[in-house]
Amino acid sequence: MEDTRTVNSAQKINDEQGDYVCIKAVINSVEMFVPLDNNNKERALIKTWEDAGNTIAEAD
Amino acid sequence: MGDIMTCKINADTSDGLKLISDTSGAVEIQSNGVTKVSIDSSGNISTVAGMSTSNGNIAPLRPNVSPIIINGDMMISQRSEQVTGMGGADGVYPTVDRYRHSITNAGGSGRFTSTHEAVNDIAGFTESLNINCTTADTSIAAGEEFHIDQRIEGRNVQGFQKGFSTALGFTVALYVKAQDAKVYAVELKDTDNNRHCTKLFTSTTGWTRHVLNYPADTTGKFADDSNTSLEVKIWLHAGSNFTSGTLPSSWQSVTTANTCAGIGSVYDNTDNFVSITGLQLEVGTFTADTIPDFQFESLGENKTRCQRYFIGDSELFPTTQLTAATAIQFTPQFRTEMRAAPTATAVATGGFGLVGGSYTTTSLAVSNIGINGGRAAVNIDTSTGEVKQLCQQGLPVTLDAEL
Repeated sequence: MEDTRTVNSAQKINDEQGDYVCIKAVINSVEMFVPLDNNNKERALIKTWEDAGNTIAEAD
Repeated sequence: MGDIMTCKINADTSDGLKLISDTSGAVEIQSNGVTKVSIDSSGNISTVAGMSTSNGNIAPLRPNVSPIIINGDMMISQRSEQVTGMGGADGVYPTVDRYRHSITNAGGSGRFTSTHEAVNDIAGFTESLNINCTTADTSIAAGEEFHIDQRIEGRNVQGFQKGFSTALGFTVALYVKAQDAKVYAVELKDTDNNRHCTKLFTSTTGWTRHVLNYPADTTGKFADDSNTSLEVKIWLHAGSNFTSGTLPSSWQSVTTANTCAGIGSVYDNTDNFVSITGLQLEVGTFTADTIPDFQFESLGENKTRCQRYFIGDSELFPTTQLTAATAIQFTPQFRTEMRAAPTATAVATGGFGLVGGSYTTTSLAVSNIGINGGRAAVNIDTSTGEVKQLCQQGLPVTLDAEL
């Protein structure tokens, strides 16, 4: 069955060198740090969320 | 010819010694009137002592081969021992490692508690996954579903040779105990080729080992990667969207209405429970008499295999250093390669510097963790230690690379 969890928000996270290393996401109201790995199920969920017209916010 | 108590059979020099069966094709060796060894018409051997072969594979002798099902004896539960009030939304992985609680609520009222439960009334097993209905649902909407799944990577199911002319059968075995006799189902779903096959079993009030046979499937190969290829789905509740058709007792393209036709519901009474343990999946076709014994792994082996998919809070003790007054850095290395780069979720907890000082971790700042380890920076409230001080603390983060 499809992953039915809700992506509440997503933002890019850069490391101290300014490299984009992960996504800070709130999924079903839980904050988690999602790797940039397409085999990761939360990354796949965020991809679906993006395909629906949403955009990952830029890093602070 | 009468019985011969003692004899010597001399083979000829051209053909050697032959035991030739009648037209049934089977050969049996008996002792005191009881068959001790039999060879069937396909050449498979079984002995009364328990050794058997299927499709030429020697079943009980699987040296250096791990069980296909991970955590089949339900020993490992890194997340939680019990989660209550489930059923309102997809449960994902609440309790016992590797068992996804897949739920589509569709407005249904059914609720349950999932428990990693100790058992003492079944030889060899000490833990189970218990599903206990706490709110009944007797008005089932068409779209409701609840099943317990283990999702298996493609690389781990190549032995079935699915999609080849030499494809082998599947045998699922599991121990189940429930409050009454009720029909449930185990669906095998090939997610690479969208094909499925389902078998029913009937629970009893005592532990019963159910052995279910699924035929070989010469259509559709499993992908050779680390994503889901095969799902073992134990169906406990379903609406008519999944039950209104005809059970797919042989492999076929997925027709949702056929999925688990004929099952009952764990939600139909608050007295209901289902306990499951000893889940195994074997290559080949076995009966209750010929299926290999459950392969018990050591706790360490089992947990390491589970940690390819999930690592719990404070399971790792990486090198740790205060990098600022309000930040601490961890550089974890994993015991085993994870399936994919994991999602990191912070767990607030306390720690302390090796030469004094204490702090409380609050949230993640950065996670750059791959399949073998990496780096995570965690925010802390305030520290009484000094920057660059080494610290002693388990990684206050859960790492999730589940399927």
